[in-house]
Amino acid sequence: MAHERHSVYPGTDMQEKTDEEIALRVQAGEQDAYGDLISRYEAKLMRYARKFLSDKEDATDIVQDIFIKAYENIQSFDATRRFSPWIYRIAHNEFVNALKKKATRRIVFTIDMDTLFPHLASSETADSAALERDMRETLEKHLEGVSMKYREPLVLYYLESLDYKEISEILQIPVSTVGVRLARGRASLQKIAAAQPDKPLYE
Amino acid sequence: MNNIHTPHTSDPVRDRVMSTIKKGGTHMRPRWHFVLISVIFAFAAFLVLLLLVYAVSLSMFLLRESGTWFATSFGPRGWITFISSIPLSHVAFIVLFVVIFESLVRRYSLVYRRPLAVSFIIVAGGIVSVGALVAQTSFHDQMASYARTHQLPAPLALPYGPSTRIARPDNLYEGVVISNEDGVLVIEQGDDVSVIKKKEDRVPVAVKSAKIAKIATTTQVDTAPPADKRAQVASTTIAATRNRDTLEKEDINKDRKEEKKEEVETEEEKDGERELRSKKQTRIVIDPRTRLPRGKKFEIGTKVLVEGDRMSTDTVKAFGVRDFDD
Repeated sequence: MAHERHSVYPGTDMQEKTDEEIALRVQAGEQDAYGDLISRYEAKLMRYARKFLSDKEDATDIVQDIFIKAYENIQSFDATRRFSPWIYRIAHNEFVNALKKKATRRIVFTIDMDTLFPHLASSETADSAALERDMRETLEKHLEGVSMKYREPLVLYYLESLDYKEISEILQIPVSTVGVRLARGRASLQKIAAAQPDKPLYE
Repeated sequence: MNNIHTPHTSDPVRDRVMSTIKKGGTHMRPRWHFVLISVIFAFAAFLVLLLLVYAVSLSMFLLRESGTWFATSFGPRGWITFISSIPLSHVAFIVLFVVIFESLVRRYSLVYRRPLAVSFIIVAGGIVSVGALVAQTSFHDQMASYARTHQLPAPLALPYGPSTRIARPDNLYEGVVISNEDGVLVIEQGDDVSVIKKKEDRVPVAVKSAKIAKIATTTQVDTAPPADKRAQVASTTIAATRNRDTLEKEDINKDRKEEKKEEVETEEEKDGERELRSKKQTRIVIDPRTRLPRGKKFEIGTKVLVEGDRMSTDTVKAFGVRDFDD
């Protein structure tokens, strides 16, 4: 889960603190505390960025921009809520903007039918550890073939270990829609995996 | 913070971001900035909501004024009449503002966690319910009254002007019962109306005039006078105009505005022939399938609304009849 404590500062009081507690310190004016938040999220956001942006340089620049934006807007963070969905939301917006800039075709406004109507097949399923591991492996191998719409929930759920509610907050879509997109993303992934059974894990 | 935040490993992203922050290359926006943005959004959403409630209640008021609102009591046929009478411009305006409202409140988790269709239905349902409550009050009646007496600024008076009025559908008739016998109601429709027929194109320009109507009732002019009666009508009109001028002289100091209106009418008379039309009588045929209020007998003098098909110039086969007090 995103809430795990893995400070890179062993032996300091910061490793005992939650993300939200550190964010509160930053809000209070402790600039240095922000460095700890960066260290906690840098690797995650880099991994997240690389799933959307092919260029490593681009990913580094965008992750840097995400941290700058997060710092500028940290007073808007409500410390009674989770920090990870908040920073992932900023990341999501940055990736969307970056992809829009790169798009050769003009992006036309469309209504996403998944978010329009309620869905019944939306409950969170507790996959077994083995199944999740298999899924992560398949994701690493075949994610490129999955459309962007389904790629993001798959990455956030299987690779970033966020739950449905947190993904719903990041993408600002109904929780039931998260379930639908994950189910469709899994189906799409399995189809691609079946068509390319010999593809190595990392190319 | 001393050295407790010094990382153990070299971290280019962290170092660059922290360096930018420390050099003052970026600043943390103050909390009030976000509070202000939230307040602006909330206020904008509230204004749009008020505008929507006003627009919905105004549409209901205008539909009620045209009588179309009451057609729903005549069953499915009445509902079709009602729905087809709702102006598309009103529907488009309301839908557009519901979309604007949705986009303003979509940033709140309470809204985006629900499917768009669900939150749209909740918002639209809430607005229609509150709009219906407002339409029940005398708010629009008073506004219309102020608009008629020029007590409202033009933008506020505009919704109560003739341009926004909803026309009564052709199959709806309003009138006062003057006879009720053997399954046939006779209703009297409309006011006494003075019509000016222009010389050049003979297109009638209707001018409602209470005073002329008062004089005309003594002359019993037919609704559509035949050609040989026109000369008589014209002479009656001239006489009526003379009588009216005398009356006006008597109360000239009482109502200057009305005098101006009469002058305009006299000018119009110079350009064309004035034709007087009195109330029109229509026979309403009621059969066993006609929807009537349970246990209701239409007394003479009752104002009624009728939905039906016209069988001839003065006869309507009724699908529904109800009392109607606008």
